[in-house]
Amino acid sequence: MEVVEVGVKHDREGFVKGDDSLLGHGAEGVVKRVKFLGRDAVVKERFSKDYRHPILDRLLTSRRLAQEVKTMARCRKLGIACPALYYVDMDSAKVYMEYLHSAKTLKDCLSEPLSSLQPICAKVGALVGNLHAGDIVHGDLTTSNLMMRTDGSLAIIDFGLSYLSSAEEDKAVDLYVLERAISNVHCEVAEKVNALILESYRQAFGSAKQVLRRLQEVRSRGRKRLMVG
Amino acid sequence: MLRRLLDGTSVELMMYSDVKNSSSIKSKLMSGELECAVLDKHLVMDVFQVMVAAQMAYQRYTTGKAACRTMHAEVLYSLSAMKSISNVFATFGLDGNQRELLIVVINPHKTSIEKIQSSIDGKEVSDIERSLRTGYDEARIREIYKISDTELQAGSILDAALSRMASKSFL
Ligand SMILES: Nc1ncnc2c1ncn2[C@@H]1O[C@H](COP(=O)(O)OP(=O)(O)OP(=O)(O)O)[C@@H](O)[C@H]1O
Ligand SMILES: [Mg+2]
Repeated sequence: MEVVEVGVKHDREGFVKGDDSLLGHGAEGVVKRVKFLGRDAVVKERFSKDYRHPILDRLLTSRRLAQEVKTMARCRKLGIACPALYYVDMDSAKVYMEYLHSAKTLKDCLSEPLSSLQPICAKVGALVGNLHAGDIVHGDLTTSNLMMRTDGSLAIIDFGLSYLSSAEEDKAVDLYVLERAISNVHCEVAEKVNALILESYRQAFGSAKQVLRRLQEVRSRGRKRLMVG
Repeated sequence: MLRRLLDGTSVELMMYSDVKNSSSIKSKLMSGELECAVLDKHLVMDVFQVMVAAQMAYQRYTTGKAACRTMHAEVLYSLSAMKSISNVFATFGLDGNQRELLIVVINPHKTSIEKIQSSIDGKEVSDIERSLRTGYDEARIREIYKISDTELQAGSILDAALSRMASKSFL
């Protein structure tokens, strides 16, 4: 197993202010690094939206949270690495989970030379292949939602938009989102990286062929949309 | 060993080995004479695992969502991966034969702690942390939580059990 160097700028320790430190701030809520019952953890907290009716708001929030928890539990049962679940507090819409120590995002890994990208790409393809083989659609498969750990293992995070589906279209869109995200970060290596990922995706997932055929269609729809503006 | 829950509520953990009277402890628990949760220590892998169970129990109990009648019974229920409460006490609790016990007291008071201590005929274990980490029954735990080899590819057995406990009410 190869070891991925973790650069100083990626070290989350440097960003810690007191006990709480902000890791992400999305449209749905915040992600913080905290101490939870004595252990390093990540807490994801969903905000309520003032413009929504309070009862509807609570219903939507708890549904999304339940979906996220369900997918994470399913992932782990399938042997797909994602943060372990620690505690879900429905009353305050918080999920506490494992903190992936010194992990760096795929986005940050992409700046490495192509030779060291090869094993990373193989892991990304295998992980997404296993996910899709288990009918899990991630829903936001960007390069910041895949994380490399210091031991060289890959984990997937952020299941806020995930759902269960066996539809080829849904899986193809997942792949397309990832492909676009990679192209946006590093266009020089993007083509090669994407090809390597799809190669190991094909190996990990029995029905990959149909999804990849669908991906062609999704791509051409995407291009048309770009041309129209 | 004193620990705290999210809102600062304290939790006292105690451990005993060579316990000779677990059936009398069991009857005192059932009559409500002892206010604590008593667990088979071989089924707990880490202090963190039991603290998470205490946090879950406390939260559910204080918001009126508990499945069990007492907050301490709810600790056992929280440790379990099953939604039904019928098997929980048989699995994690006392059957009258255990000799090594882990005791959890949420909101401990001096008098209740003393009562527990004087009710147990056994040796107090000081290094709870170490005893849990080194002395758990992996095979039983895998059976109880239904942890497959595949799942252990994604992480440790402790992580697998924690994920089960946290997601049980969503499945
Ligand atoms: N379990 C974790 N361990 C370590 N770092 C994490 C963990 N979860 C999230 N992060 C870090 O926090 C960032 C944001 O987390 P996440 O993607 O779950 O939230 P988000 O609200 O969707 O944010 P964004 O909109 O930026 O994607 C991640 O890109 C990652 O760098
Ligand atoms: Mg994200």
